[in-house]
Amino acid sequence: MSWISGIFSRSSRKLHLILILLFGIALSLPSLPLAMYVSEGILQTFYLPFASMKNSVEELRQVHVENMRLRESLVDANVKLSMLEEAGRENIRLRAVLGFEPPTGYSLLPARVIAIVGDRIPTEAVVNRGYLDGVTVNEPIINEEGLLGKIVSVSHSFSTVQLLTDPTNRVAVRISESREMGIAKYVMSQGLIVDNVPYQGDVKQGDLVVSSGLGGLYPPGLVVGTVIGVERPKQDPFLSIRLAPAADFNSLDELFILRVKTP
Amino acid sequence: MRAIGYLLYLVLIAFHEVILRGATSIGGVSINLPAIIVFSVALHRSEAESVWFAFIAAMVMSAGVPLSMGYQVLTMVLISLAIYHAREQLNVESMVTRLAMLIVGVLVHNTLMLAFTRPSDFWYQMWRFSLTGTVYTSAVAYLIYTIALGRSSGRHRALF
Repeated sequence: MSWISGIFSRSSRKLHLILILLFGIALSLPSLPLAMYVSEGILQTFYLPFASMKNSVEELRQVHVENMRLRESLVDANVKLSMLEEAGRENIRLRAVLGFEPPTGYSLLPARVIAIVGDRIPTEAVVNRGYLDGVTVNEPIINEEGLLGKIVSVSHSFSTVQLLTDPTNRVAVRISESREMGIAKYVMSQGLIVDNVPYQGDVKQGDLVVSSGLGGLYPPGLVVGTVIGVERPKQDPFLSIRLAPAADFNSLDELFILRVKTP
Repeated sequence: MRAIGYLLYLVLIAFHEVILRGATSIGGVSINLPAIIVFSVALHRSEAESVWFAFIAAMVMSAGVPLSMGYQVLTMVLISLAIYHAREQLNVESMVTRLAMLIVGVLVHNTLMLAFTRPSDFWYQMWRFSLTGTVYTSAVAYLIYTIALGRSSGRHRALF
């Protein structure tokens, strides 16, 4: 038998009840602060650990909510930062093309690339200018770095540009120093090359290659690239010249349609 | 060992008052878990143990509202005493009858506490919270008794 049962068995039943009822009545009396003291002791002993636990859980929940809110803010801020960085890069590019002058007799129509076509390298680009802007087929496309290609098809508000990296594209070029003439074209296995330059031609590494103006499609003097390799095959009457393109075809963004200035 | 059991009941009552009551209330209607515990003790223990436990449990459950502590103590002790004597006089053994006595005890407790603490809108509180609270508490008590009976496999007299 436990000690509690022992106490109960020794005490009289009436005494228990009288004690409890008296204590209950004393607790009910508003003039006696007994309930306040008892309540304070019970709160400290029984309630406080659970209240602390509840507060900790509530704080954790608030921290979680705050964490989620901050994560959303961080994503939002990152998006804004990316947009600002892109705007900064665009600003640098636009500043670079600001002083860009077209060849004499031509005007520039700015355009923006909206799509790139090509498997391993870009061969075509779609720009946001069409016949509503007066764009016509075969107009040359340039940027501040040099010649990019020509317009091959025009629709309502868009045009397709055939880039120099398209193997079917050909440009009549001239070595700027020696004035030797040839045909620039893109060969998948070799990159941009100049063909049809005679074996005895004076071409060396670092020479600038520009459009010759022959054929009437491109105006003369547009930079196509720089000579990076010259080979003189014995069994071939022509030089094998490799070029580094003047323009970076992998990062096309703003470009210009070169148009004949009408008087 | 029995003292530890009673102490755990008191801790459970405090836990209910601080955390469980808010977490389990539905539309402001909450479970009267302290009443289930106190009246179950009255249904299974001696008179002295019942009234003393009711006395201490009532103080623990009303510690947050000291103004009603006296009424709570008197109500709990008197209902426990009544349940104990009803049990003894009727010689109740079946679980269903004990559960019915517990539910009546919960209803009387809810009603008396309302009469003491909210006399101005007694009838509204009675319909809105007291009766619904009794139904909610009865459902929980039924679940507790059923689970406890299933686990004890017929030894339900030794549960409290």
